[in-house]
Amino acid sequence: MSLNLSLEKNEPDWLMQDRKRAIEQFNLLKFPEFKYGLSIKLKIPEIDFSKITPEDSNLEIIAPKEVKVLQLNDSLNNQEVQENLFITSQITNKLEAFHRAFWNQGILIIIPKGKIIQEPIKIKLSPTNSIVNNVLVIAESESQATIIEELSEGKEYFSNYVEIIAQDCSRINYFSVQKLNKDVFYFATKRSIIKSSALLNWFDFNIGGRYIVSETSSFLGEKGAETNILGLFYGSNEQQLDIASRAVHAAPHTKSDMFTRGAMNDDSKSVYRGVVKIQSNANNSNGYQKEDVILLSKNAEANAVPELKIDNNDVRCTHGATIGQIDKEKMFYLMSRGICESDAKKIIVHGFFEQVLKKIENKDLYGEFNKIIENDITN
Amino acid sequence: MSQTITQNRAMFDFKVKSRFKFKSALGLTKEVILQISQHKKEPDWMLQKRLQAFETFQKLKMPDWGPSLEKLDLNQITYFAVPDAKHDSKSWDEVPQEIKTTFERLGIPEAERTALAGTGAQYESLVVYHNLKKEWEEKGVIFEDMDVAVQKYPELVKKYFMTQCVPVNLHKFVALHAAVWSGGTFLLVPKGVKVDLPLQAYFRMNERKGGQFEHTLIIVEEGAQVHYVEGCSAPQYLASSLHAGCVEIIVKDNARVRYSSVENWSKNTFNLNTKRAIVNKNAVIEWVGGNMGSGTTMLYPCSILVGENARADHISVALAGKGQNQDVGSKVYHMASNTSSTIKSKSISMNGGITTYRGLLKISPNAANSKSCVNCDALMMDNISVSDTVPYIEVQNNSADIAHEATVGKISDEQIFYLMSRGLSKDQATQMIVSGFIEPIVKELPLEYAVELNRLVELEMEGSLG
Repeated sequence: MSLNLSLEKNEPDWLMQDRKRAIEQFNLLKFPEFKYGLSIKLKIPEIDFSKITPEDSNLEIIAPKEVKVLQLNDSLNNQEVQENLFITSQITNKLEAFHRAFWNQGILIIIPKGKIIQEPIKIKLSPTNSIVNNVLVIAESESQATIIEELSEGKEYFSNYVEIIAQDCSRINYFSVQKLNKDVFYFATKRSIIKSSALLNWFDFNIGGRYIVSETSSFLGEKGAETNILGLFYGSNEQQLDIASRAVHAAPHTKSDMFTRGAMNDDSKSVYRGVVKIQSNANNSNGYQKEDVILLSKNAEANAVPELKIDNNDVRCTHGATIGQIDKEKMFYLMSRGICESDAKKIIVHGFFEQVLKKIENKDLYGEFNKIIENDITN
Repeated sequence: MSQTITQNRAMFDFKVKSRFKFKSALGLTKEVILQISQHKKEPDWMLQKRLQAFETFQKLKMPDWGPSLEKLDLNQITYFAVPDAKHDSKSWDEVPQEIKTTFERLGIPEAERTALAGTGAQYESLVVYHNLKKEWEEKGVIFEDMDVAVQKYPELVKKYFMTQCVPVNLHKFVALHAAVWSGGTFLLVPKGVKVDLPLQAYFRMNERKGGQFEHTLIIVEEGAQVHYVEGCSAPQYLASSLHAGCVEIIVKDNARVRYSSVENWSKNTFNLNTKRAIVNKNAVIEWVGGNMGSGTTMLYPCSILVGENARADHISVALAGKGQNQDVGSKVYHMASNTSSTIKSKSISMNGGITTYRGLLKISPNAANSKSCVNCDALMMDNISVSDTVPYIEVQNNSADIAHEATVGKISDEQIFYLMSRGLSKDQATQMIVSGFIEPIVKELPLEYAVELNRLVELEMEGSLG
């Protein structure tokens, strides 16, 4: 992978400059240690980036006619792309620098002003090589839509950067289902800017991959902005999961609610990092954060760092975190009804995830998730 | 909600003229350490320990997290000073008038009169007042100045002093402490002895740019029980002062210890204290703490539960006013099965003060069936203050049960309205709500400390009209 390679593409100047800056950062930054606090440390080996060559991969998208869908590479002269692409990114991490320097494909979704899109917009990505993909969503004012992203297959390195600009009074759902092959390094960044009275619901579901580094964040930039960040993860084998949710309240009357649940099996290890940041001008804001993990095996490990950073007193903020095990009584009850141990476990995990799933107001999706849980959660 | 809350620290920011027998030069050198050791006529092993610690101190880095320590100039601190008072006087009359004035304003003689079991008061780096009730002496309780203990009980001190509980290389300020420590308390409660009145030592720092490096070593043998109380207060000066004390508590099988402290250093003090307990089988440690003073505090009492069924309870309240940064929390390591811990933390920030709860909870792979519950509540009085919560939770055993909960909020207008409609002024109403907020912690303190803590909070919050 060389600098020249990506600058050959005859791209507009602003993008070339952006890539150049990112390459500089990439060379300066060290590979993250994935170490938090005194002794939380994930076993994520350093990637040899010189061996990773992102290639274009077929991206399948199903969208109703009213929605404007464009290849990002074809819309680089678009004013909105120029203004908004990577507006949420501040390179602080080598993986992010790599993404910004070497991204090779992406799509732009524009939901026109005032349009209410009933049918969900579906994005499907099943690459057979390393990929560095962008999704830029611009929800114009008073628009409504649901976007479902399905990631499967994959090889080596999968870097995905989702950016959402939710304009005034828009209501957007963005659901992500990650069921990549079990040997893929998955680096996902989902960030958003939420404007006046707009609502953004994130849902981040992680079941695949070998190393999962996933951040979901909402910047509540204007009065009345609201966000919900829901998450589910299931760790098996030797998966290492670094899951982060972040809400930044930068305006009055903003609201955030985070709810993540996870189940850890085999020798898997997870870190959940939740941050609610209330800036000093965000009066009358509410921030909630909740995380629960159950440990299914002896060698599984779960860590939590739920942070609150509060600079305004006129707020209500809470966070809670629990880490526990499967209730033995429940297991006994199920097994006394003739259900074998592994099935009983599955039922309990299913019920545990249900609490998050039922918050997704989409029947098709709900069914699909149930199917995934049914099939993929074994022993 | 708008309110004017001004802090009043005048009560504790007074100074009386001090006389010194001996004072070391500013800054820390090998010579200073030799001087300290010589002055105390210490055995060679202690001197060697100090010198080794000094080497470790030079090697270790400053912490790269938490509040800024940029303003702390370790070369501008007097590491050792001896006040001109007859060492270890047991009668109140022998204490010099100036020192008495200081103690009286802090209410020490009253505390003594209220039938406390013993008082060891530290003025600068020497214990000038020490009194232990005969009753306990007969039962074999050793309650002694740490310096004296080195001479009188060398074997015990050698065995426990910074060996198993707080290792010298734990962090930079522990190493510093080990190099220059002076004074403090040595407490040993023999097997099966139950001390039912609290034992207390009141520390006080009064020399300009004074450092206070007292060492507290508490050993509680099998089945014994004790409640130890420590309080701190220092007058206000301009140059930065440093407090880097160390508390080591060893709780043996079936024993029970309660350690209470109210720390109220003056606002230019850096309070970088280290407190740790090793808790054995079926034993209980209880930490009760109040942090009101100092400019910057970094204090995380730590319990290491090494025996089965061991338990740790941490309760604390922190108050940060203008220019203060209270970075406090609790650390609990569950290292054995069926261990349990509860952490209850309350903080109040006002006038731009910063409070941070920074905690660590670790369940090691062999700590089966461990339980822990963490509860942090923060109250913010105004819009310029800051409250952060940063708990680290690590679970490596699947039979553990962990719950963490935190809330941040303000005093609700409704509550204020209700109290005001009953004829209270706004200030009174606010104070009453704050008193109620910290009540669960205050009630765990011995009476005179509870009174003092309440009084301190009241003083800190006193309205501009008084």
